[in-house]
Amino acid sequence: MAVLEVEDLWKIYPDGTQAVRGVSFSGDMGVLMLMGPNGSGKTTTLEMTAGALRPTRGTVRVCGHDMWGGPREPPRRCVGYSPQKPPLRSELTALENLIWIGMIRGMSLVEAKRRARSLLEELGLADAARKRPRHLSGGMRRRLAIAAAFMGDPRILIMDEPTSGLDPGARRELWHMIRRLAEDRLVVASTHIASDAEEAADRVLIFHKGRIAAQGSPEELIRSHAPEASIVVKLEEPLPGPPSELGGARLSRSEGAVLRYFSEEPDRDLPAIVEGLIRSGARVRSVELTRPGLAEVYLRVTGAMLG
Amino acid sequence: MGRLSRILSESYVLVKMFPRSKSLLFWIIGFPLIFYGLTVAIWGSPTPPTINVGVYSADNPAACNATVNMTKVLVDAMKESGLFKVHMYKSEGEVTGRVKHARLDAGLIVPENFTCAMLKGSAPEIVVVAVRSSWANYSATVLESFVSSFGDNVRRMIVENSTKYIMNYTNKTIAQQAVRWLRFIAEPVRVKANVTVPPLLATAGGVRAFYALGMIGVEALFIGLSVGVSSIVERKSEGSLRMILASPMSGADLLAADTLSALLGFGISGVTIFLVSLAMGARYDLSPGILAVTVALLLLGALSMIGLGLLLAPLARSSEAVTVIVNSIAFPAMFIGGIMIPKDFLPGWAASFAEVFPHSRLLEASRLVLIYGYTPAQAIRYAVPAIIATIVIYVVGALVVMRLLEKSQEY
Repeated sequence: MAVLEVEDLWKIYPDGTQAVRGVSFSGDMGVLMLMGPNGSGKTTTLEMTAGALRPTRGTVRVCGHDMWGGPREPPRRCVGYSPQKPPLRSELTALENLIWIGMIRGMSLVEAKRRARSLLEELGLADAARKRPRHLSGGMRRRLAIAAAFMGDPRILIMDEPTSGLDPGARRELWHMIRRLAEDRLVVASTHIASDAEEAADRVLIFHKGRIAAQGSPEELIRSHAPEASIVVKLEEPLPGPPSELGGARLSRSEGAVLRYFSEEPDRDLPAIVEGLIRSGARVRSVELTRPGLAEVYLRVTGAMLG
Repeated sequence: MGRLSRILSESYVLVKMFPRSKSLLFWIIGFPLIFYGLTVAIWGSPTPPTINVGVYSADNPAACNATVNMTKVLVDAMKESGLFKVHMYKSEGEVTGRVKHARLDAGLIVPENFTCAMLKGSAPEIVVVAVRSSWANYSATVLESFVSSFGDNVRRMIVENSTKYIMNYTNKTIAQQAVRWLRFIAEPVRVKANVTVPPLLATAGGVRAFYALGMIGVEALFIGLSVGVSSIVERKSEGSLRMILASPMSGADLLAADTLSALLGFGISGVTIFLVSLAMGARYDLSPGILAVTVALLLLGALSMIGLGLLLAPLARSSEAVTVIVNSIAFPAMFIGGIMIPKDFLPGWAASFAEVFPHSRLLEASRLVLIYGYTPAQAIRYAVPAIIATIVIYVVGALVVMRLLEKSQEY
């Protein structure tokens, strides 16, 4: 049995809005990333999984406990939740905020103090222990929010857009830290930045209109949804009737002097494309190879479904 | 241990925030001390207020060759009584004009024949001028009584003087009977005032103690209501509600944590006011039993306000709404609930409200035991309906907030 099992989860609001429609997934270890555009149901799914928002139907089982059908405490002991807006009290220092959250989770004052100090040390915030949140940088505040979710030493850590508002360097650093935390537990996080998901996630769930539109490891998703690299060739002047296939590549679009080919094996097909075009009398100005990534998968999955 | 820690979590926040938060410091310490200090400065001594009286005298003692000026005797007596501040004016119009414009509390118009009429034994007519208002009526009544007493004294003096001549009459039996009758006519009823006042309330120390308890009651009003009304909405706006809902903390834990922290804040405020009031001369019965009963009654009063706040929590959709709800209840209650103003000074409808409003009744019970010298058992008997009402209000309020928390999990 997986440590987290979500089955056929639905959230329908009283006005009839279907925010989440039959979502199922499970996880045991590593980073499970929810990706999707705004309003696709990521936050609602995370809140229902964390025990903060009651689903309309469906089940959430964490550490073998039913989140919404049994006693309140056992499943919530197993989960640490960091909402999108970190719930830090501005009048308390970083250390005191962690102690407060530890006490909310049922730790004694002494125990909470010990755990808070060790987490601040572990997350590189030891020097910030006596500072109040408003005196911390955005990255430090985010790390503090993660530490807060980590206070009860939960088996599952749920984080809603933990890197939101951070610059690329701080984002990378934070994901690196989250990966470290995920070595012995399950981290469920959300982002709408494809490169972050590609770098940090073991598994990705792409949400679209309240459903999971695609899921798998980043490599699996790329292989199954965007296997072809894009080769864009810019010519000196337009070529009438450009070749539709060159090597294994096929012409996807021709706009004046710009041609776009798709290829599953770009290393093999690129020389054949250039050679073939020259043979057809074209003068090549530049060639640009774009290998597929999660961004393409994301756009293709959500864009295709929009269409 | 887990549950206890959760319940103590908000008190931990309060203790840590308290020295740093200017707003907390002001509302828990600054505001009550300023309010209490000003109240004591203005009303802290039980001396009666001085009545400003304007006097115009047309009295002409020379008309009857009198060697004494009865107007002067009357005015000197008024000054000596300490009840009046007397201002002399040169015309009747000046006095009535000043009374009309509230520059004087009352006026006294002394007629031309005042001295002569009194000495000759015909009653002169003296006019008391006052406008129609409760304070002016009070002033006029005091003035009328004073002038009337003055008249009684003059009458007694004349009778005593007359008795010397009557006793010279040969038939002693008739003379003694005549003297008895004259004395009876001068003073038909002897009134002996024997007003019982609670020993502490009759002193400045007692009045200061009364207002100190009033200020503690005001703090219970504001702290209790604020914590109750804002229990959900503040957490929503600061973003901690979702985190709490996702934690092992139950609704009951949350309520207990809020209640404990509110009572702690109230306790800090109450102890501060109490100590400052002692330093300012307030006098209490400090026996341990009485203090314990008083503390219990005051905490119950605060609990009743927390419960009322919880009941009203569904109306608070924003932080601004919390302020509006708290102020629109706490401010009127402060005045009409017998909290800062003694219940006996209130109009009937307000006194009735103070009688049934649980917080007012519990505060009154604490005054009974701490200031008015009632026994703890008597005070508790008086407080029983309010204690029952407090429990009911708190339980219903708790159920309302639990339902609100349930609803917060739905959206």
